[in-house]
Amino acid sequence: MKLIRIVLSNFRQYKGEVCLDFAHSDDKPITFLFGANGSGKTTLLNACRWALYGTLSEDVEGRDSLIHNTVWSDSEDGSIVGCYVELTFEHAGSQYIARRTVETTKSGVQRSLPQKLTVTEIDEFGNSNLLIAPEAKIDSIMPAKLADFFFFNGERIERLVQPDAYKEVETSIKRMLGIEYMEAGEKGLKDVVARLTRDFSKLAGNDTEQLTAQLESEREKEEALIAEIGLEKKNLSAFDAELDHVQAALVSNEVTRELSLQRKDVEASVLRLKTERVELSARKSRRIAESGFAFTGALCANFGKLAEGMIAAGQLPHGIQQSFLEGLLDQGECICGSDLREHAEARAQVESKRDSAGVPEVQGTWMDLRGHLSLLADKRSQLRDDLADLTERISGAYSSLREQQELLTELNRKLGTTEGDSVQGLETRRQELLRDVASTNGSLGLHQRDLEATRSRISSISNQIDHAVVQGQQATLAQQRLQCASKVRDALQKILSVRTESARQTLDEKIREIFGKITIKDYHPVLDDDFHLELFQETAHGRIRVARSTGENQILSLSFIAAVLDYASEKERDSVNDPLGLTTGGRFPIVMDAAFGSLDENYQREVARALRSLAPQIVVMVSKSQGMGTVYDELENSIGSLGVIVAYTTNSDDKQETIGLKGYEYTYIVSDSADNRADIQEVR
Amino acid sequence: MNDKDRVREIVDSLTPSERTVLKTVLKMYQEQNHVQGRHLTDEIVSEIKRVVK
Repeated sequence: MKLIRIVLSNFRQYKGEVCLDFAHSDDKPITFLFGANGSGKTTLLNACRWALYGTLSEDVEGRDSLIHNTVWSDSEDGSIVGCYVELTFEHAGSQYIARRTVETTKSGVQRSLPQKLTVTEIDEFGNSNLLIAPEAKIDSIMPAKLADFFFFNGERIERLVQPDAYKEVETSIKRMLGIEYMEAGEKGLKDVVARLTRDFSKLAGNDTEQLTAQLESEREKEEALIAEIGLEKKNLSAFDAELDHVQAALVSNEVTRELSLQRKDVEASVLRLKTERVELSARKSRRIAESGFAFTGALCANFGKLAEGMIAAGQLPHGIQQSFLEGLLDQGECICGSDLREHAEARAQVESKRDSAGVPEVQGTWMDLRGHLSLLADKRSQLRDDLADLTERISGAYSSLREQQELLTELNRKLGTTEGDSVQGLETRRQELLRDVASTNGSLGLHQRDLEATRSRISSISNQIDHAVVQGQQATLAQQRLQCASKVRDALQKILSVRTESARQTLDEKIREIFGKITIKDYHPVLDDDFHLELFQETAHGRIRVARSTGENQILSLSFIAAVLDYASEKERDSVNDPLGLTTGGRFPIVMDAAFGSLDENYQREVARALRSLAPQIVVMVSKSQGMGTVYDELENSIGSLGVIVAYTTNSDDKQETIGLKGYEYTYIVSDSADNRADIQEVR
Repeated sequence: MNDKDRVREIVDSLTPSERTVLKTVLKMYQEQNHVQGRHLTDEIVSEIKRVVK
């Protein structure tokens, strides 16, 4: 999707008809607009959203006042008054003109008014077509749920990486990458299998009917467990976020700062040591399981002794190949020069050796066995050393863990007895949250195991039904249909799992890469299995979760959006060879207001540098103080459309202001105006 | 093996009829993803009955 042009008519601050052409060339894809606070930047951002979806972002005030205030107040009661936004964009070779209009007969104050959307599609041959289902078309091009990804206020963007947005983010990613409808398809197939199972059981007889009843009961249990697990995960995210807040409050308090930071380190250390101990114990168990046979030392020694005795007695072959001895006998001479011709004394000895050498296969096996026996002794010794080393390390980890746990208890005691109501309150809440986390983790583990067991039973019962022996043509056909649906559902489950994991892994790598380019801090973002985005820092005590600042959350969110857009664009290119013949992903623009709000100058520079590669088309709106200098200088070469949103204000106290761009002065704020309004001035 | 190859392997393990059903189901849901609450169960059952007879 590529934005071409927007026309606003009497829409909120924009009085009369105001038009903006977006930059959309590959080499200069940035539209850069300066605007004072309150000039109409957020309204322009929302005009794009409103034209497409009929909604405004949550931070907009006076949501019912869509028509310019003066236009409304100047109209007489009973007259027709209205506004519209027309957004022209390109997608998949066609051009679309989306026009959303509000029109009403004026009566009193503005209230929520009915809207009308029309979308005209102009195909690549210039044929124009007014769409009969415009909302559906828009949603199929750029789903409404994704609007927050593409049209956002930089100062509020960190919301995307807060725990309460995780589910929404996961859904949005899945929707953009075409995973959501696969999930819907899989769910649909589940219903289909259930229905075909019932059809089949009616035809197949009592046993199958009983199995079907069992299956349905297990499926109900599965659904309930999935819901329970989802809720527990959501609760855990909320607990973690609140723990971060409590920790940040304790650190910001001068009295508790040092102890809190020390406790944070010790907690990280305890976690690392626990993990280390578990890993070492697992490694020890694996080592014993894989090589424990080497401890059959006495058995090997006895076997070796017995074998050597048998060799001496000529009952087992020596290490010389039978064929080699035959070669010497044919030749009539040994390699040592002894005479091996007929009747020679040495020949009789070699012939005796040849006879005891046995068949070549036995010889080979025997040679192998002798070789392995000697290696076994070496392995035994190595295993003994390894186990001694692992035991020592486990014991070391255990001792350190005990020390750290004692230290943690002491720190908890000190912080728990630190005076001050706020400290006591925070400590109490912290303890409650830790208990909640522990108890939720416990029940989550139980439910996950229960879910695994339930799924295993479902699989077993389904298998029995699928393969039940049946008689009669109708029953056979019903069984074949059920088998087909089951196999397709299984395949779709596997595909879903491959696609979801691949998307998560790719996004995780991309976020890390983009975040690393922007920030100088040694932080590592991680997108976990549940699509939760966290920030970690490597410390001497291992990896710890970072309580993020607003600036870091903004950068993390930007990195996240950039990663999603990049991946969506990659998927679209890749769709050509899709084994399922499906088109997924797409190319989307970003429209951002106040993108540099809470960032310091370094971050502003880094974000501006990264911005060019964030999306194929970008609209940036900034105030003079945010954008002039570092940001503008960094982006100047990529700006294809430059403009000023001019603020006209009735306030005579506001200072008249201009902005210097490309060697000319442009109006920035006009005070003492006849009405409050906004206009867009293009800079050429 | 990348995800596309892994998906191809899964698709290749199906019979032609099963493959047809899979692709039809995905297409149905892709095309209808913006229509809330629409149940496509009947249409999938019909498709299975069409290919397995």
